[in-house]
Amino acid sequence: MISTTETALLSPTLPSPEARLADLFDAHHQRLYRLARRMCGHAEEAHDLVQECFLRAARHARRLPTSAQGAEAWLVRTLVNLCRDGYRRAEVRQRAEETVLRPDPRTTDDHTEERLVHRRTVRDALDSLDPKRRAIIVLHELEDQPMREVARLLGITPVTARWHLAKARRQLATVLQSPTSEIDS
Amino acid sequence: MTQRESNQDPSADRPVPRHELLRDQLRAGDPLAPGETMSSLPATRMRNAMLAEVRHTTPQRGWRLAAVAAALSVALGSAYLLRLSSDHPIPVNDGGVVAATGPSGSPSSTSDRADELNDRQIQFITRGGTRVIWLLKPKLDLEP
Repeated sequence: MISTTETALLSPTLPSPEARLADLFDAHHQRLYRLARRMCGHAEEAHDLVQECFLRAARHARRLPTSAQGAEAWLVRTLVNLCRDGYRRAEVRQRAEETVLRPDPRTTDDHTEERLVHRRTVRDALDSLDPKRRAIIVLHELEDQPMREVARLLGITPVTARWHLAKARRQLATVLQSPTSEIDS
Repeated sequence: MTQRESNQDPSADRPVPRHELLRDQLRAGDPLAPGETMSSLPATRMRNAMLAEVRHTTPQRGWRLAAVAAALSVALGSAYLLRLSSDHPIPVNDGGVVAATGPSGSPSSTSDRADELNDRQIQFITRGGTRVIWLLKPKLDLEP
């Protein structure tokens, strides 16, 4: 009978790239989807972004950081960079706008319409931000991540992250035309 | 202070920080609908595409590494052989001298070749390494 210690010794030390990527996908795809959805605003584009992110991970499987936290940060940064690179498909965006933002008049009441307009306003405000600042806003304000964690995920110092947060808040307040337009850092 | 005033929540009068107002506004218009997740079908497709990509990429990388290793080995081997050959240079066939002293030369005619075979030579090397070869021609006539 083989003991647990012997089993551990017999098993390979490092998992294969396939197994490792499969684990990464299972652990992070939903979280990356939420981030992409909030970053780009459209479900189909978010799908494309997440898929491209994991395909890049597959192409550079041997260069992925070995630690779980490092790999997670690599995925988040890749996603943000994909947004920055202008990874957008105009037709997808157009189609999504038509389906999501044009409510069905039979089922729409004033409340729903108001909510849709507000969503559109927020999405436009987020779109006006630089992708890095957008990511900081999404991670901190919408996903409740502490700033230290946001900085780690984006590979920047906490001080820089806070500076970007303050700038992004001011910019958002201006765009949203709200009483918060005089937010100070 | 009255009893009624003391029972009031002290935080009720505290102004809400502006960044919290902004956060509330953002959350009210969150692009992600509550409870929205990636459904299982696209997730499975995406996972399979990723695994196919890693299977496709990994052997290519192995072949590339093998090719680079082979090219390096060939280059290093060639360099080693060239160095060996430069340490022991291949003798250059100096036609003029050899032809005058031995049968491997390129004689101009049969009679000349016979004469050259009868030549006697004296060879010596100076301290500086210069090799001196004297050819003693029996038919040499020094008289004017």
